[in-house]
Amino acid sequence: MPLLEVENLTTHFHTRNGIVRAVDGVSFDLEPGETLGIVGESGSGKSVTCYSIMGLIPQPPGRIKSGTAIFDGTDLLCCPKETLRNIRGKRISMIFQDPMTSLNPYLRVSTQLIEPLLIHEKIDKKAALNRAIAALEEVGIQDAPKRVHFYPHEFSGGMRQRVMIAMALITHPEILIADEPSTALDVTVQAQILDLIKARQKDLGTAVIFITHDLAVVASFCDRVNVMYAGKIVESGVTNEIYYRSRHPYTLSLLKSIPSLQEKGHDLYTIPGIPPDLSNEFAGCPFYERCPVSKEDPCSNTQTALKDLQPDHSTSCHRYQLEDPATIKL
Amino acid sequence: MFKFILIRFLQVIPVLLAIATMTFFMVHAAPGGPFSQERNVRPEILEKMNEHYGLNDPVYVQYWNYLVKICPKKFNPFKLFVYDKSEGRRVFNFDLKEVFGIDFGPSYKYEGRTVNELIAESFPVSMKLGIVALTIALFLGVPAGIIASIGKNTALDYVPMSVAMVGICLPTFVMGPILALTFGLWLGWVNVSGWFTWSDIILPSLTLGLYYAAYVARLTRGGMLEILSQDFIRTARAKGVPESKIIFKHSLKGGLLPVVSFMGPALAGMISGSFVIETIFQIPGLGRHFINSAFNRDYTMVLGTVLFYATFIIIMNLLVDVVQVIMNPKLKYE
Repeated sequence: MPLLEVENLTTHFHTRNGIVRAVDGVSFDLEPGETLGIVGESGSGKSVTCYSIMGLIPQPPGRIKSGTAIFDGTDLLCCPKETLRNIRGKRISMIFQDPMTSLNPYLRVSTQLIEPLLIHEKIDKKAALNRAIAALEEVGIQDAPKRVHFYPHEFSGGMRQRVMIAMALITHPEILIADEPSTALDVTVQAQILDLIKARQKDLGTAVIFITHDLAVVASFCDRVNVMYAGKIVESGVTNEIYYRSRHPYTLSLLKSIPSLQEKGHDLYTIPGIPPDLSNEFAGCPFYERCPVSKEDPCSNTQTALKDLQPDHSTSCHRYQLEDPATIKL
Repeated sequence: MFKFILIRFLQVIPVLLAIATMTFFMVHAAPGGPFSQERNVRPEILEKMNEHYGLNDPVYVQYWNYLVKICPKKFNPFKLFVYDKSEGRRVFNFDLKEVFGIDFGPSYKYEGRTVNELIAESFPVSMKLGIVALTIALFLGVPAGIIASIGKNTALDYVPMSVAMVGICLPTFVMGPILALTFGLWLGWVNVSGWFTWSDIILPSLTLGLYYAAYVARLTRGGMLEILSQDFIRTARAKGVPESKIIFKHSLKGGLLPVVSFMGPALAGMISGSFVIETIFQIPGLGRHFINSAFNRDYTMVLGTVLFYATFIIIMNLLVDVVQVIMNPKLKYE
């Protein structure tokens, strides 16, 4: 039975230029202990999906139009605020992209670390502080009893992200949502942080939703992948399927754009065009304008929906749903 | 911390010297002298008076003599509280000469009075008024700003902010008479003006305090909105921190920083007295002396009040810097 079931999640932002459909009918399941990757380019709705689940969308201008996110019998999208707050930071926690701005510069690390414990577990300060020191040691921070009292600016970027991870995992949550946790870090530090998340996940049995635009990271890190484009999941499946038997032109183009996989001395491959304006509704496939495969019906005028090709692989591409993949030339 | 304050203290010396120099030469360059308004004075007497006060000396000699006189020569803070026989206890006695050895000299206008005496007499009045006004400004302004920032773009925001805008736009010389008319004349709750009973402090401190409260409210709102839009507030929400703690624990420290920086000059302005308010409510404070001494060409009084005020601003700014370092751990004493 899935730990988290997201069904038809739709989040809109009401702006001066009209309604932006940031997330449009997203559905996925998360099994206990697994790692689910969500990939896509900037503005594809990866982060908004997770913020919606966490109830972190500022409303207004945001509005969760429809959908359910069932976690342990509770619908996170329409439960009372109090219930959601008791789940947030206790059973589902989150780490963010930029460790430089995600920790409160005015409060000591110790204060911030013990906060989830004080709120959710109602233990006394001293016990909480001991847990905080242990948590810092677990994420590989040396001299934790002393450094726990430092301010965030006294840590480096990678160290701060370690603090964030320690803080997110201090209550042993069932789900950890990692919103591009390595994007703002140096490449060497990136690897350390990813290894750390992996190790902590193994220790605690936490399920991880991993948001990133780095396909290489997804390949090494995730059990299953959702590829998002223009607020929709366009392809979903186990990681190997997505990488080796991709069934969507967008995923294929993304894979083709990875610089290290391209021949040296040639121009780098890029996907032509720009992501579509999300304030317009799509008549057909949102990727139609940029699609290297199809320039004909039904892609231009029939809306897409995810369909299973096999039990662990689904795509929203009309062509792959209708035709034999071998006949489609990219 | 100690080093920081010491360095800042040493920086004060050239600043005050520059202020003293500029003020000295400016008042001496102004046409007329302290006695030019006196009527029917025989030239010999005028000459004698100038002679007595040393006004016939070359300006640079006067300047040097003045600097020597105002240079602090001792530090004896215990003299701030002297034993008063009639009261039977120690009372506050603000005598700059006894405490620091600073002598601002005799007033040219108030015969037989020294500038030190005049400041000692009027400053406590202004300070009392200023402290009450400050309390009003903070206790009204900060909560109003916080409420407005929480209810951004709702009635909770618009109502206090519109009132604050009116407060800023309404000069004290309009606000003061309105309050005096309403509460003094029509309702008869307090005296219209004067400085006799404890209730006389209410109207002037309200006039002064409401004006600053308006600024404080707007600054608080701006500071809080800035902080509330930061990433770390999102982190706190993701941790399940209740909204009240988001405001008071996570935001207030950073959100009040603009207010703290504003408080430095504002405090000095409030405590050293306001000419307008002291005139409207007939309060024997320091503010009146500023303006009157300039009109009277009361050289020593002008210099005394200006230097006193300048020192005050500097001290308040130093205080603000210390508070800012306490509030913002990213700043270090440098």
